Amino acid sequence: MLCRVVLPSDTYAQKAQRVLAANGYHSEIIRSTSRGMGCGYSLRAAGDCETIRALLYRENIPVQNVRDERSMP
Amino acid sequence: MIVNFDNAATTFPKPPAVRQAVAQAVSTYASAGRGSHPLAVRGSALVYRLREEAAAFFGGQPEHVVLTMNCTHALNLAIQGICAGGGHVVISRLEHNSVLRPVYALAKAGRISYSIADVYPEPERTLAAFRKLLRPETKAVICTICSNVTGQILPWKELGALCRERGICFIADGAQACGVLDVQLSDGINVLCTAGHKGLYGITGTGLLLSDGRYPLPPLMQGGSGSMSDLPEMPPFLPDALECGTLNLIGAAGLSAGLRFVQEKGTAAIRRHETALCDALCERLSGMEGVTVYRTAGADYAPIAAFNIRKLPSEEAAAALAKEGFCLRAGLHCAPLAHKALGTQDGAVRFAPSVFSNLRDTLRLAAAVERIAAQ
Repeated sequence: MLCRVVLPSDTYAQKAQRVLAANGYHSEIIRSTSRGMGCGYSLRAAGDCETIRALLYRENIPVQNVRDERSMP
Repeated sequence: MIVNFDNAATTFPKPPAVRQAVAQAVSTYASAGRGSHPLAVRGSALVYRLREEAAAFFGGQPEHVVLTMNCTHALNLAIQGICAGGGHVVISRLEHNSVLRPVYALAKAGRISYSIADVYPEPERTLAAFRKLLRPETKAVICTICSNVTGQILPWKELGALCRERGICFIADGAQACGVLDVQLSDGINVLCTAGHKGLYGITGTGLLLSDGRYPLPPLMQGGSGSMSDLPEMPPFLPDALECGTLNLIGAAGLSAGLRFVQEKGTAAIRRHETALCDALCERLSGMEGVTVYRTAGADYAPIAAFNIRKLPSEEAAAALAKEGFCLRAGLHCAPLAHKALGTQDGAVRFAPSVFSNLRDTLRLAAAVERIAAQ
């Protein structure tokens, strides 16, 4: 499963990537632009979205959205 | 041969690793936080590594590390941010103009009031002086950890505890302390401001603000942050809220290498080395006729020492020493309050060694002072 995690900034994307790596998840940082939010960053990570969301939540990382990439248009 | 004893202004020389990192950065990095192409990713990784290193060094969180131009910039962000809603602040009698001037400007504009606490050799007396000045409307205590003129260390941990007990923000100026004293956010510091180019051995144009996240700091400047760009205002979170415009990546590379250098040496070892040089100089100068060393028994000092030679104006004394190859800063050191408290309104000569200074040069300096004093 490929998971897309939307984060508010580059710093939080970097921090989230470190958290996921420490828990065995490989991820890639990609730039994302969304209507209403403007420039932001996303992580594309291989893994279960709910587990990833919980991991980042535990580290107080302000995740804006977590989606299964298959559900994305 | 030039010997730099003005390291309290800027450490020079820089460690080889810093020089190499800076030189390499020019041909490696473009910008950070502005995209996901390979150059941008490389720059972002560098900046985040620096945030992680600074957070680990001072006991904070990487996302609460703000890169600034220098300590003055960091202090302005902190002071003007915390005072945005008005109130009262307490500063010490030993503050640098980077604290005094922003506070004075806010007071002059009628936005805040401020009090100045005297500093004594005994920490408990200093603490009592601060405590006495606190009011119900006091928003912050803004205080240097050690004087940039005499090196006197203030009881910053006790001040931190006092502020925490009263629910007051404690903003610490670590310009002279960081890299020499073990300063941690957990000492009760809510906002720590420091320079990158002094005891952290980075290059000029770098500074850090570390927040524990308890006190929101509204931005002083607005502009591009590379995040939440649809908003007409700065993003509401750190570090983006306080970092607008392109970051100084060359400086970040140097500061990252500098922090690693200090980490490897250890602040305790650096302080021991520099203190030994200060003590050696003070011991010799104290025995010289016509030379006054501004140290008080019972006070604790960081490795900085101020002195004067007879009635020679400090600038003339420093110029005479410069002719012999010694670089020392004279005058008021941007700290008029401290000089007034010291009774040196016309200034003093400041000795500030670095990890690269040695005893031989220190003793040569003492001999030069003796010659000048004898003239």
